[in-house]
Amino acid sequence: MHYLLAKNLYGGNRIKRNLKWFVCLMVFVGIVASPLFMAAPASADKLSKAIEQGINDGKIDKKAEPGFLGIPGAPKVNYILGFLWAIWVGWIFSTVGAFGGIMAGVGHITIFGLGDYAKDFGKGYPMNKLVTDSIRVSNQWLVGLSGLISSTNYYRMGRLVAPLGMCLAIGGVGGSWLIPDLTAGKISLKAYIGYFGIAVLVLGIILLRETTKGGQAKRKKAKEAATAFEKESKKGGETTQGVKVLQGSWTLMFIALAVVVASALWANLAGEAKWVAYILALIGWGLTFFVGTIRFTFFGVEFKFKAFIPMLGGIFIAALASFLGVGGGFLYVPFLTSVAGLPMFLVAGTSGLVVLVGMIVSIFSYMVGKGVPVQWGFIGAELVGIFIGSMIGPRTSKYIPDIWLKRLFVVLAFYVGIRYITKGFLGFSIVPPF
Amino acid sequence: MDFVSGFVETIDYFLIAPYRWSGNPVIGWWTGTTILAVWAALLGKLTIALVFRVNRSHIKETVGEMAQRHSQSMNALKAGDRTAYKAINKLANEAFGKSFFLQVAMASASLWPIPCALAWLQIRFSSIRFSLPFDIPLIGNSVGYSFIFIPIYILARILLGKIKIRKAHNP
Repeated sequence: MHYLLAKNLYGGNRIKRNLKWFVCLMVFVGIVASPLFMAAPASADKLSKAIEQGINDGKIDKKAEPGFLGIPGAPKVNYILGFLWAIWVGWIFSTVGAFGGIMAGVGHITIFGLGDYAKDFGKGYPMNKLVTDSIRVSNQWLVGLSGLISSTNYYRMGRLVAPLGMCLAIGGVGGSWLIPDLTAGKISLKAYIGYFGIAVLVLGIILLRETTKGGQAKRKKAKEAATAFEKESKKGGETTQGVKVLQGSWTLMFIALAVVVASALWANLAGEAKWVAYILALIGWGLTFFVGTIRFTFFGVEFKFKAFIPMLGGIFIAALASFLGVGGGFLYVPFLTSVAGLPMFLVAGTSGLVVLVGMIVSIFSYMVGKGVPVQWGFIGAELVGIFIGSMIGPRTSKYIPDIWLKRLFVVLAFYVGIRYITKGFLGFSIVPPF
Repeated sequence: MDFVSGFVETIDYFLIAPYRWSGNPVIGWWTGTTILAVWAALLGKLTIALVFRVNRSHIKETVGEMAQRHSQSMNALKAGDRTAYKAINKLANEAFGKSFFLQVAMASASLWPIPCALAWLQIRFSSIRFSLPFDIPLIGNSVGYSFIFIPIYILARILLGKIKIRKAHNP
């Protein structure tokens, strides 16, 4: 026991090094390996097979001009519209934050006309599945990028709670391959739109609560408390104290993580005997129950948590995030602040790490395992638009009070949410355009 | 013709030139792709530098607010005021969200040349497969253009970073 404690107390550097290598490996897999396989026969085969079937069934005109992903007769993605939409997304990212991811999704589904095109093929049709999955992956590329930036920055600052991130990732890695596996190709764009709408509406309700009188009063009170503790801060002058892990079985955590990563790789690459992947995922999750309690200090304050709680949270969040093709960030943050009660700096870095790991596995699952293609030129135009929007945002946000920005997004969230829910589940929108 | 296709076709002549310098297709491929990766890395670096310059004061402001709220929340926690800690921590998270997504949006400034370069490579080389000395299960013994381009791009980024650090050490 003493040996274990001493190992955990003094083994920080080794663990940090291991974590560094682990993150490097995941980034390598995500950045190098995924695109590497993307050009492999799997994606070309899947696309050409879907096109062939469409031609044979008379749903695709062979002679029509190629559009999205080179599919004959598919809508030609309007890059200028995509670029302008991305400026709007960049503006939101730089003024209010997280809602930008949702808006990127809205662009992929509605603005570029891909949603209606996919829907025309009918439920369960290969081309419908392919376009739906391609939209998801396009969203995930943008989200994965945000996770990469966040975890790199916070790793450098020593603000990552590695054991917490690992336990979340143990749940998350399994969740993010299991859900694409269970739903990719089985869920039509119509249903995907409906679920996406529910997520947007929930976000709208949360935002609305913040803009009510009660929400504003709470905020005012928080600001007053903050001012009181500002004075304390000047007296104390303590500013730099990183995370120190006191207790937790690293060996078991690494084994559990390795087992769930192996389950994801088996599921994506082996193709046959899928049950092995399911068993590996279950073993990884089961091992987390034996890790016990993890204790660490930050700024001299002690925090502790049972390892299996973030693991369960990770399964649920990654499953939902991967299913919707949006980042889990907007769910990890409330989980880590409310359930785990962690300070902001730890939440930021830790959730970034989990989002990154989850998105890498999810992108890998779709692009390698399922052979889903993406249109590079389109992502390029979006990135240019986003950074231009990010330069406009700071210049305009000072003229718009925070509360009005929030109200604007409440209206947008309700509109988008109701439109997508009714379109997805009823087949028509109850808000214009119908 | 759409915006990106028009753009890549205009610069096609410029990008393909290094591929033809040597007259040997294999040497040409490596030279051309390396130069393309260096261009992509350089362009990305230049754009991100421009964006940081333009947004400097705003970044300073958002990062400052985030750090301030953080230290306030930690002080509340140390003082044992759990309710105040939770409330201030929420403000800190909000400040973080703003600063983080601003930086995410700005970071796209450094990455936009990658998909553009990949889109050009797709037009030029999508039908060509590069042989591997070994066989990878499910992948086969050949790979696409992105397998070569992305590692070279990462190398170019690392080397460009090193040049910058050296310059900083030896002005």
